[in-house]
Amino acid sequence: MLKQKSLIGQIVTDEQVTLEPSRIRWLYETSLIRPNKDSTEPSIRKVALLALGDFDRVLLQVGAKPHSVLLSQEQVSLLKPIQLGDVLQIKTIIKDLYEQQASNHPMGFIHVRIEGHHNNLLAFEGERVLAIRGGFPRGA
Amino acid sequence: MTKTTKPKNQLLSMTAAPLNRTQIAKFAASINHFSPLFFDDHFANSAGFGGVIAPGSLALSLAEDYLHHVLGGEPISSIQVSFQRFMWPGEELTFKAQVNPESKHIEFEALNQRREVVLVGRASLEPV
Repeated sequence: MLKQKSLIGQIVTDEQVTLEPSRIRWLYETSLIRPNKDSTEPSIRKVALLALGDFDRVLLQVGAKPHSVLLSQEQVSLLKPIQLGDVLQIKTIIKDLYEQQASNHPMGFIHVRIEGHHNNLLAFEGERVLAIRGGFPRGA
Repeated sequence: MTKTTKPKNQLLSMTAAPLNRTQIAKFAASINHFSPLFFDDHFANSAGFGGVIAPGSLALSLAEDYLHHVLGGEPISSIQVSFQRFMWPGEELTFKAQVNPESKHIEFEALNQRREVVLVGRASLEPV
């Protein structure tokens, strides 16, 4: 059994994060389907909420090298309105991890759940599935 | 950007401007994803990608903007996507969507200029 299996269910981080207007604006400006549109009020993309998760720490826990990590799936649901500048309590949780064979090569998958609480209410929830080329690291 | 009218239940398709390196690097920074795969050609080559690639989330974020346009700003409560292919600088993504009138779900996809599917997804419109 993979040693990383013991990480399933672990809350990797539980921390306060501010929705920084400058980062939201960068994200917004770089992904406009009409890039020349004058925009002074960037909307908060679902992607921006998912990005609040601490994926670096997840990879550190699993022992995966960043260059071997690919994005497989994402989903996010907004449950309460969120504004720029809001301070959210963000939980990053390892929901599942497993390996599969893809074209005779192992591929590891990590399901990471992200929860964003605002004023003690769940404001958004999401999940990102990361694929690890070559599978999970073995050994010590 | 180009627009094409589609049959009933299908929304306008839209093509985004070609992806460029500055956009990719800036977007990666905005989502706190500082992998050299997104800005270092040498590194991306040695990792077998043939050059820098774009974060998959960039296609999702473009899809959100596309849906914002074709839905007239109607807020999306949830969105889910599956990433199918890598994206490189210079690629032009065309977004297409259709509405399921019963479930109020919108199914959408992004294709590159070779008409290969880059991303498929589904969005819901229930108000928050």
